[in-house]
Amino acid sequence: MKTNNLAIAPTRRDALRVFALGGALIVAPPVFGQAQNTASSNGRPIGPFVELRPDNTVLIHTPIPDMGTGVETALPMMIAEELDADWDLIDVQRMATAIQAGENGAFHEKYATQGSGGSGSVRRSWTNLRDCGALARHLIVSAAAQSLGVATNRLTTRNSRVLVDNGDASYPYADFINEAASVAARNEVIIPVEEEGQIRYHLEVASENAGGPRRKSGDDFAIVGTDRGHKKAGDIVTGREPFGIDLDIDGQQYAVIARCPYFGGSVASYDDGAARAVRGVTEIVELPRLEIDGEGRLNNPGVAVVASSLWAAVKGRDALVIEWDKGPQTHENAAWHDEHAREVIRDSSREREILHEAGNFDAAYEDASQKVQSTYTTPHFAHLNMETNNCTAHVTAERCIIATSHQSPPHAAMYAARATGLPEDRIEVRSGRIGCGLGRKWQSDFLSEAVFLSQTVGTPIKVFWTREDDTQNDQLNPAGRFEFKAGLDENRKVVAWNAVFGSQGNTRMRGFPANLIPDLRIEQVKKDSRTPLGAWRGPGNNISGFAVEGFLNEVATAANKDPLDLRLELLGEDREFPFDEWMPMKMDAGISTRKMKGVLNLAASMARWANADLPNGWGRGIASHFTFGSYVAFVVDVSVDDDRRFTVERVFAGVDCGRVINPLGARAQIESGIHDGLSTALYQNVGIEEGRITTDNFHHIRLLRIDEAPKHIEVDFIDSDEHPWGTGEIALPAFIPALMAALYDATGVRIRSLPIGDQLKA
Amino acid sequence: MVSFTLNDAPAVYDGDDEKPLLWVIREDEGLKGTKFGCGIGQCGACTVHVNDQAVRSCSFPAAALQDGDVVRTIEGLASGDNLHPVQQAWVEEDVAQCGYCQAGQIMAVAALLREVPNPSDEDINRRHDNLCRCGSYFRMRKAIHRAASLMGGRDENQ
Repeated sequence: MKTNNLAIAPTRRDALRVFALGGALIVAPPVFGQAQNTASSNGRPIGPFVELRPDNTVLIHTPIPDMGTGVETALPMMIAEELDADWDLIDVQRMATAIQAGENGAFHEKYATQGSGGSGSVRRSWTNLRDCGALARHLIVSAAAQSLGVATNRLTTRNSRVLVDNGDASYPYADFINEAASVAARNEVIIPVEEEGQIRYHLEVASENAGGPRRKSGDDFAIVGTDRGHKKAGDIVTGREPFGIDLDIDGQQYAVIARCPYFGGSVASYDDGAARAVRGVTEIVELPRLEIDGEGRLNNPGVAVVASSLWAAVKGRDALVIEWDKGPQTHENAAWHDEHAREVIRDSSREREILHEAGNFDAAYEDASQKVQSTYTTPHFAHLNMETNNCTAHVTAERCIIATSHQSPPHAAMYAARATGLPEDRIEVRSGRIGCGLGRKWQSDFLSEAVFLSQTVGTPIKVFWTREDDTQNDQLNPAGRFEFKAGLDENRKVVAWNAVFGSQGNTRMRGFPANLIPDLRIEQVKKDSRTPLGAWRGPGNNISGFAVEGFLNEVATAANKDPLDLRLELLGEDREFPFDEWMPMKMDAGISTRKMKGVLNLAASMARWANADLPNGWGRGIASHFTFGSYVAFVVDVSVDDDRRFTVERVFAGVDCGRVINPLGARAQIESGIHDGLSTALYQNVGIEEGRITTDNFHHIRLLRIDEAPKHIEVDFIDSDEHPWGTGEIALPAFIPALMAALYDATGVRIRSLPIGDQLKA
Repeated sequence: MVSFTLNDAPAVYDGDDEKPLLWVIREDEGLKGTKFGCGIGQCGACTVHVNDQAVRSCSFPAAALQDGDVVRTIEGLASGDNLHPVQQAWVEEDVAQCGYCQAGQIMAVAALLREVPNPSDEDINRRHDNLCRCGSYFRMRKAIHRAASLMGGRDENQ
């Protein structure tokens, strides 16, 4: 943690905001951004906060909307732990979105990290939310001491009750609401820190000796580290939990948009006569290519049909006749992408970015006694979120309301502020639950359409994307080509390693084995294509895991070594290396050979790696990967029938993600990555023809179904009291290569190109 | 015009015959628990019951509704505060991740268990094909068996 030199004069009221409202005690941590205190009880957003109600229930406003990662359970657990609350008395509500203006037109998140990405929700919230809970508990205990006339050192707390002398008498927290609201907390100081490029203001909790609140020791945790079901499970299974698409604004009309499908293309001309004749259609609006400062690529231009009902808008759109200007990329298709990647790697005149270099690879490879070469390729992946992109917006001269399921509501608010020119306190973002995001719903294109159309038409507008719209206007995971060379010495030790990545996008290959081999060079060459790309679960890691770990398994075969032994040998002694890629950045714990060996040994032990006694027709594989601060290793067992169809029989996962907040939820994230990895390996293959995405719906691009799912999954975590890291994106990059290794073990077929397709039958 | 029953209450639809039942339910009736996923009957996020049969409502035109049809959505599956056993099992197995597909999954499984009260894994494989993008299938399978057990006293270990 480093301080910066911004001139901030923290005041008592910045440090903690406490007030009684409707008979409840509300405790909110300080504003994160510039020191100002606009919190009030009259409807302005505050939070994250703890609201202790007269019936002794506690409402927690949780800052990050849930897209399936379980944060609306895990984050409240952090607060409830420090509050010593009875988990059954906790209610959870999504916190309002809050941003504030900074210098030079920049905006900041105001109270807390509210975005979900980079597997970072838990690790970014851990300190702040615990402080919030600890402050609330501190206030209640202080108030109880005052009210009961006993010293605080005679008071303890458990299950939302204050205990005197360890239980001789106990009182519900709610007994002290009024007293607590008048107790001034002492010794809190705001420390500004720079975190991931943003200035945030952390609460420095005063020491216990100074009479301030204190965070618990991990030994005393009663909620954190225990299995807790989704707080929202009851609302989800009864259909009551609203997702972004379910949020309406009174007076809204519906818009369905015909977007130019060609990369960089536009509308040449259109005939909307038939569309206007559809009953319920009210307006046809041409959407330009929207651009504003500070935002990357926004929408694909097109023609919007606005109607009084969604169905009328769909029918109206179907009736449009549009001629597209196909733009400059019509040469792009799947085969061209493959060939172009091959060319740019071959082209020595093309600029190469060296991602990691050690020693002299060329000389070491030349001298190697055994050489291994291989090439891995992956196609473009689509997001295919079950809830398609959507946004409802109402823009007037005075305010802008956005109702949607965006992965980062503050970024949606920042977009809206820039697009409308309205001050940030006139922007309201209403967040629904997110029907999966996987990176796609961090983008602003669907917001930009709704804001523009509401401004143009003058009514609230709900922009609805059909499945075909969602797939054909996706921002894809980049296709990649990886060319590897490895050199072994006379003892079959890996001494030289080279990887060249050719792609339109970026890769992440600076973890392992990058730090482990003496003569090594990892390079990246860019293609000239303009396929729309975006973040897709585990960006960069998702395909480099498949390629790097796959090649490592090939090297093990060539060296006639057990693939686990080869990895342990490379990892060697316990060591830590600096690691400065995009994630984890701050809170950089580096990358540790001890932790990677730990998860490999854990998975191997769970699977009885050394004593595998597999039935005939089965195969087994292993792989591991470091993603966003966490370590995962898999052992996968498959069976393959006479027709070369395979079943994933057993999956064993060893995980080190630091302290685990909610093991039940964390296991779900690993299970999710396993299923997604299998689905991806089997089916992800976006069609591109004539510079446009041709894949449109689930009959063209399949997702895994229950009959194909792994039959048995075991997940175990390294017992850790370190800072918690994430789980959402960490499993897929290691699962796919472990699956491929198992298929190789069963069939002798080495799959180096995704998807699997018919390769096992060759 | 067609008169039908929606979650035990009378309902009337008088509009475009081509409009899918999904949009009648969501937009005309305001019941948002039933979800749009694909529009072509592939994913099952929009599954509801029509006369106790699971139907993919995105591909069920209003014209196919007949007078007296009984339509049930996720909002009408529980009996008051008492969850349907499939819902109960879903909570106990902590199935949902993002949760978007789960209303459709639950409606499909409720209909499946009416026809096959004690489904084997093979029965599930053959008869349940709703899509889940989060990959909750491992827990979902356990929850289906648990729901069967809750409904009929099936031995969970079978």
